Order: sequence, then structure tokens, then C-alpha cells
Amino acid sequence: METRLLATKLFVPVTRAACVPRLRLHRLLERGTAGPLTLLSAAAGSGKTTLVANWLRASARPVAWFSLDERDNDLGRFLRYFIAAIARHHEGFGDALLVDPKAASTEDPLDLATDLVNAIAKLGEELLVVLDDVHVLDADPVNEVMAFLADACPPNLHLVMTTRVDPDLPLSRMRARGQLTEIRAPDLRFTREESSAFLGDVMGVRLADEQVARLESRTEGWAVGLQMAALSLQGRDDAASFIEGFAGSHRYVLDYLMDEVLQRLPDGARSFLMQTSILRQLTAPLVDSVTGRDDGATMLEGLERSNVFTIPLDNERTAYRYHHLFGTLLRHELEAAVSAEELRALHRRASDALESLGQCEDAVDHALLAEDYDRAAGLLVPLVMGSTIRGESHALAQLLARFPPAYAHDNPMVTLLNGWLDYYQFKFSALSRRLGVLRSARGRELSPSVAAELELLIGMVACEAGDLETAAAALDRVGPLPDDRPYLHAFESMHRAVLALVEDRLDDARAELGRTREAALAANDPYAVTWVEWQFAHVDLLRGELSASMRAHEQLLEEVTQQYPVPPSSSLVGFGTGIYVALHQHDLARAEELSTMASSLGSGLGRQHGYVSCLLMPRAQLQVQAGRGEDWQATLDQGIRHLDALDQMTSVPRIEAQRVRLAMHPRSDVDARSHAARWLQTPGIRDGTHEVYRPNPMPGVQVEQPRFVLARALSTVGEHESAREVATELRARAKAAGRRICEVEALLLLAEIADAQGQAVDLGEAVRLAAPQMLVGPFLEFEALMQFAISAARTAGQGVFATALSAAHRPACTAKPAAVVAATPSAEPIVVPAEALSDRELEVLGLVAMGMSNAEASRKLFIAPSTVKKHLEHIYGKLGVNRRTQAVARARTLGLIGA
Amino acid sequence: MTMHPTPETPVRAATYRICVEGYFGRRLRAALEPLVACEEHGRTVFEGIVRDQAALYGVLRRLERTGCTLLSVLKVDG
Repeated sequence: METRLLATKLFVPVTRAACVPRLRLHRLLERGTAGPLTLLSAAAGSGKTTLVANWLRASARPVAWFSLDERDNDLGRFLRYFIAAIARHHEGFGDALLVDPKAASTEDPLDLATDLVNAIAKLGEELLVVLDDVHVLDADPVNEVMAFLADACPPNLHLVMTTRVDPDLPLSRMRARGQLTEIRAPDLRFTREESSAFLGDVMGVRLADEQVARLESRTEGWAVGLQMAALSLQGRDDAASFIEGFAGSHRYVLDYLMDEVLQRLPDGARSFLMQTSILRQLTAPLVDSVTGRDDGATMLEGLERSNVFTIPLDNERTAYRYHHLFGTLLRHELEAAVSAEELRALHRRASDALESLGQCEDAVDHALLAEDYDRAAGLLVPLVMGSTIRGESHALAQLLARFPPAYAHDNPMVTLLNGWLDYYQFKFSALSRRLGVLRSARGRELSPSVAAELELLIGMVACEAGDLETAAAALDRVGPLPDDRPYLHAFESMHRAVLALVEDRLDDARAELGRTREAALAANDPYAVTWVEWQFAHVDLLRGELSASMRAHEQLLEEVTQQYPVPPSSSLVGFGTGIYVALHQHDLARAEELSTMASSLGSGLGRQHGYVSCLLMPRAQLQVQAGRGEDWQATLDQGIRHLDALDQMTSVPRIEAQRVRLAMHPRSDVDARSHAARWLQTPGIRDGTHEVYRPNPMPGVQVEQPRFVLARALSTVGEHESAREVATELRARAKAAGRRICEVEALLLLAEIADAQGQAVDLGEAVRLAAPQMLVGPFLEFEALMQFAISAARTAGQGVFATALSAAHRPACTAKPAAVVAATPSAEPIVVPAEALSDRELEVLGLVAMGMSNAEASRKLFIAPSTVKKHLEHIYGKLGVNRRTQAVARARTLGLIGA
Repeated sequence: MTMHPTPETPVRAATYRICVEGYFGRRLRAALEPLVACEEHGRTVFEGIVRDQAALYGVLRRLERTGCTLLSVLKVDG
């Protein structure tokens, strides 16, 4: 959960200069680099890590080394280290990946893995990645990614994994295909010669051949056993009798030898080893705090010199760890030797020291082991936001799960910590229940800051569920939030701003956004800051301040693209706003550019529900307004499928309303009247009780859109009086709220109704409002009135605006030709493909037509995503299209795939 | 008795007998408490009540961390 990476996890462990040459194994490792994976799978203490480190040192090969620990079960963290390990040799590697770390928790892990594989393939150079201690990984997403890496391994990548337990990979398949090189326990076993060389050359114990043979057979050539035996033998006069005793004993090898080794150490060293065995990493200041002594540095050096299972983690020898097996035995020894109270005291000292060293996550770990739960909770509070922002909620969840249930249930701080975790994992119903319990807890007074945080979370959850009444009430009850947690303040004003927006209070929204910006800056949360800036641009758009909105948009886009190769998800709102501004100015090229840019952002944005309202809905509008006969309905369908996948179906009525609106657009190719009539038959649409009218705090939502669609649908089916009523009210509300675009649209609609009833058309006011900002878009929705608009602009002396209107005007669109009204999209000319599609291409196309992404299709067909892409390129070429939606539409027209 | 109960039949605590190679001193015996160890024919047999499958896997994992050789796992009663 800490931001900085521990460099020691990325160092190839330092091995002793003297080592046993194990050339047969080096050759195996060397040969293995021709395939995707080499697996060293054997029990602890078999010498796996040492072997790989020695081989790397001998071959002087560049390597990305990654020592895993349990916390790397967080996919986000795993990927950050994985990328950082590669970036040590390839500067800038992975900059484009994971710019939105939150993605790691919300994204399909395989999409992230695909990006990673592609980035590695793009490096071109050979890349060797060693994953040390793979057995600690037990979380599904991380294992999925590992399996994908092994499976879709680009030719230039070679993985080496060391593990005590076979990993969850398709090993038998890889074996059968010759893609796997394995080094297992029998291979790692020291031969007689190796044992002799190890004992003599490395450990400095000279023995007769038959004594070596006895040790080798008693330890079964187990590296750690031999090393312990050597430690027990060093400086002993009676080697022969020791070996006899050892060989004659039935005791478990390590257990026997551990006693020998510990006995031979001076008391000071023994207690030092035991006390410090509780630490994950040993540094002089840390061990001194735990032991209460001041000889940590000397002790660590001395232990390493005498080969006592102390492994340096960096070349400067400032950090060490114990050999895992030795550490485990030491901890058992400690637990057997000291009282529970003494053990807790050690952990408490470790926790204090780690906190002062800034390693707060480890400090929490030891506070929990010390059973000092108040301290653990207190240490976690400041960690939560950072870790969830980085998508490392798994580590947080693991720590929170270690509080005793009774404590976790009764402690408000822990409840709130769990609540934030739920929030970031989108577990809103669990969160509501949790908050409900906390709120209704009787006989207990919540501290003011806890109560405030509780109400804030309640408000945020309600907002997410679209329950604005509850949200507003809860936010009103939020008391003073603690000053040292500015992100809470950012959340508070952010949600107040959202409420103000849906309630049409634009000035209040701006004020709250200003406060959010301040708090987000104080919280050092760049995502929130970007979010605020985009929201300001959105408010400008609502007010019809197109140039201000565009200026802000361009500036932000530049900043964001400079900072990140791929913009963060909070820029979704921004792209939506930018596309709408371009559409209102009828700058189709710009709208197209933004829309393409946004949709090519790919995985980082795709999983959000805002994707639909901010990208797909304006995209469909662009397709209609450009009038190139593109399949805009398919775009909306895609949006619905997307929301379906996210279980966010409450937003679907908005899309259906947009469909009706675009159907009534003169440049769309469908029958406006039947769409309008059908929609009006939906229960609740006419009387305003349908859920589409419920204020919806989705990003980028235009609050009055459904009322506008209602008015125009009524007008389209000829119910002019009702239409006028709704439109008049719409105009009044827009005027009062200062939403100029909506006001212009309402005025145009009123003019259309007047025209239909044979009354005079007056567009003076609409033109007066629209001209200063060159607001052309709404006039294109009422293209039949265009001549009136152009002359109104001329009369008002707005020559430039009149010219802009005429430039955008397509006289053919003033009325839909009868032929189009009845026609289906298949009216476009049928193009016979230049070349038949292969079976594989048809298969790919079929999956794409079902809405699958390249990654999903690749999994389904067991081929690499890059291959899917290649197939698609061929398909586009053969069908003469340049987009997947077009390809699907064309293939349907040609009967290549089912409708 | 099956070792793989279906979710419909929740496992109750049961006695297990875990057999590993070699004799264990107090240090490793303590690590596997509350299982009771006894030694026979060069093996150590740990026996005792294990709450559920999660606890059993926990014991096996602790054994794995000591690097010893696992010979058998048996459910004794029930």
C-alpha cells in the first residue's frame, strides 16, 4: 500500500563469491531460455534462488528480477513491481500501462495482461524475467495474469519461476508442447561431488570422503541440510562423532541440525536471531529497535560472514533477510521460548520502529500481531486512500480481515475502513448494510468526526444508487470532517457539486467544484483534480459558453496527454464535453478526432458506466449529425450491452430517449414518427412518472434531455398543444437555470410547433442567444427551419453566424424523403467482398458481432489478441470498411453472419 | 469418509492423523499445536481435532514451510 517501491524486491540476491559450480543445472537453465517458461519447483531450502542467482552472475545476462511476497497478491501491486523490474533495463517501459492504477481493481485482469504482453513484444529485445517465490501468490487475478503471460508469451520473453508449490498454470499442456523446462527436487539434490565441493570450498569444512557420503545420504543432498550440517561442524574437533550421531538419529534433519547450530552460537547471537526472526527485512536501525541493543549492523555482517542463512538484499549490505526456512525455524524457536506477552512486546517495538521508518504497512502488520488493534486501526486510516487509489485494495482487505470479528464489528473506525474498501470495490449493498449497522448502534456515542465520515459515506452510496433525496439529506448531516484527511473534504464537495448539477443549480455547482479543487490539491489526488477541471468545462457547456468550455478542454487535454500517455478515467467527462462542444459548433472533424481518441483509450476507461453517457451517446449523435449513414443505433446498442455487463441498467432509459431524439433528427435515416409514437406508448413517459425523468447523477448527463425528447416526440406525432406546454416549461426552466443551449433548443422546438400549426415562426430570440457562441448544432436538429434561422441571423446583423448556419445546412435534410422513412439500413449499396472471408475470419467476426473485445475473442479462440487484430485488419480490407461496427453491419448485410 | 465434502454438507470438526518423515523436537511440535505428536518407525504422527478444511490446509501449509516430507493425511473418526 505504500507508494514507493521497495528496491530490494528487484535485486538479484547477492550470493557468496565461493559457490558450488552446478554446470549441469546452468546448462538446463541456459537451454530453457529458448522457451517461454523455466520452472524451478522444489521444497524450501533446495537452493533454487541461489542456483538462479549464480547462473545469472556467471552468464552476466540482464534480468528483470522480482522477489514476490504475500502482498503481491494485489494485482495492481504485482503489475507495478513487474513493470518496474523490466523498467530497470528498459527506461520508460510500461509508462503507458496502468496510468490509472484503479483500473487494476476494476479492469478485467486479462485486458491488463494483454497490454503488458503487447508492451513486452514491442520491446523487441530478449527479456528474461525471474519471479522468485511464486508459491506466495494465491489470488485469482494475479494467477490469471501469470497464466496468460506464460500462455501468450511473446517470443522475446522468457520467464523463470521459483516456487515451493507447483503454480496454477497449464503445466501438463506446456510440457506436452515442449514449452516448459523444469528443474525439480531430484535435479537440485547435491551430488556427492557437489556436496564435497560445497562443504569444503564454500563452508570450509574438510571431511573424509566417506563422511561426506554419510552427510550427503542423511540430508539427501538437500542444500539447507548440508549447510546446517556444515555450520554445526565448523571448528569442531569431533567431526566423526558428530556425523555418527547425526546419521544414526531418526530425527528430522533440520530439527536436529537447528539445535546443533543454535547451541553452538553465543547467547547474544542466539537471542538476536530469535528476536529479529519476526521481521520481514533486517536493517540495522530496525533490528536495534526490536532487540533494544545497538550492535545490529555488526551482528548482521557477522552472521552473513559466518554463512548463517543471512541473505543480503542489496550490494551495500544495508538490508538482509533470513533464509525462509531458517526464519521459520527461528520463529518457532522464539514462540517456544518466550511468553505470549513478550512476543507481543517484540511486535509492538517492531511496529513503532517501522512506523518511524515510514513503512506503515509493515507497522500495521506488527501492530496486529501485537494484538494492539487500536494502534493498527489508527495506522491504517491514513493508508486507506492511497492504497485504494492505487488499486491495492487486496492488501488492505487482508489486513482488515485480521482484526478479530468482535473488534471489527464494534469499532467504528474499522467499520469505516471496511466501508471505503467496499466503496472502491463497488460493493454498495454490503456497504449500505455496514453503514446501517454502524448508524443504528445503540448505547454508544460516535465521535463527531466518525459521525461526519459515516454520513458522508451514506451520501456517496445513495448518490451512486441514484437516490438523490437520501444523498442530499445525508450530505446535509455531514458535520466537520477531520482536517488531516483532505480527501474526505474533496469527496464531500464533489458530491455536493454532483447534486447541485442534477438539481440545476449551476452556480452552486461551480462553488462546490472550487472547494473540491482546493481539497483535492491538498489531498494530492491528481485524479480528483482532473475530475474537477473537466467538470468546470462541463458546467460551461451547459451554460452555452462554448468557447470557454473548449478552451478549458483543450488546455486540460494537453496537460493530461503530457502527464500520461493514456489519459486517466476521470477525463471521460472531459471527452464527452469536448465532443458535445464540437458538435454544437458543427466542427465534425474535431468531434470525430476526440471521439476516436477517447475510444482508442481502450481498457483504462472501458469499465466505467460514464463511458456510455460520456462517449457512446455523443458518438451516436456525431454519427447522425455527420449524416454519412453510419450505424448510430449500433453505437447505442453497444452502450446498452456495456451497461448490462456492469449491471447498471438504470441508465438504459436515457439511452432509449437518446435513440428517439436521434431518430427525430433530420439527418438520421429512420422513421421519426414511429419511433416517437412507440416511445410515447411506454408507460410513464407521458405522465412524467417513468424513471427516465429521475435525476441521474451520471457524469455528463444533461438533466433536461428526456423532457426535450418528450416535447419533440409529442410534436412529431402531431400533439402540438401538449408539446407546446412541455416545451414552454422547458424553456422557462432552462432560462432560470442559465442553461443556454437547452433554452435555444426549446425555442427552436416552439418554432417548429408554431410552423406545424401554420403560425408565424420567430427565431429572433434563439438566434440572439446562439450567435455569440456560434451555437450551430441545435439548428441542425431543426433543419426544416434553417432558412428562417439564416434570415433571422441576417436581420439581427449576425452575418458571421448566418454564414456558419448556411455552411452547415444541407437543404436535402429539410424533410426526410419518403423513401428513407420506410427504408431499413440495408438500403445502402451492396458491396461484394473482393475476397472471400476465411473460416477463421468468419469466426472472429462472429465473436466481434456478439460484442466481444479482441482480448475476449482471443481467449475464446485460444489465439493471441494480436492475431485477432490481424484477422480484423484482413476482414476490414476485404469488406472495404475501417471499423468493427461497420464490418459487422456490412457482414450482416451480406448475410455472412446472422442478423 | 470423503475428504471432499460438498458445500451442502458442512464439515464439522474431525480428528486427523498426519504422518511425516523423521522425529520432531519440541520446536516443530510446538508449531503444530494443538496436534499431539507421537513417534514410530522413524516417522512422526500428529493427531488431533481439526476444526474444518481451512484449518487442515493451514496445518499442511505450516508443515510445508518446515520443508519436511509428508507421508499421509487421514481422517480418523466420523
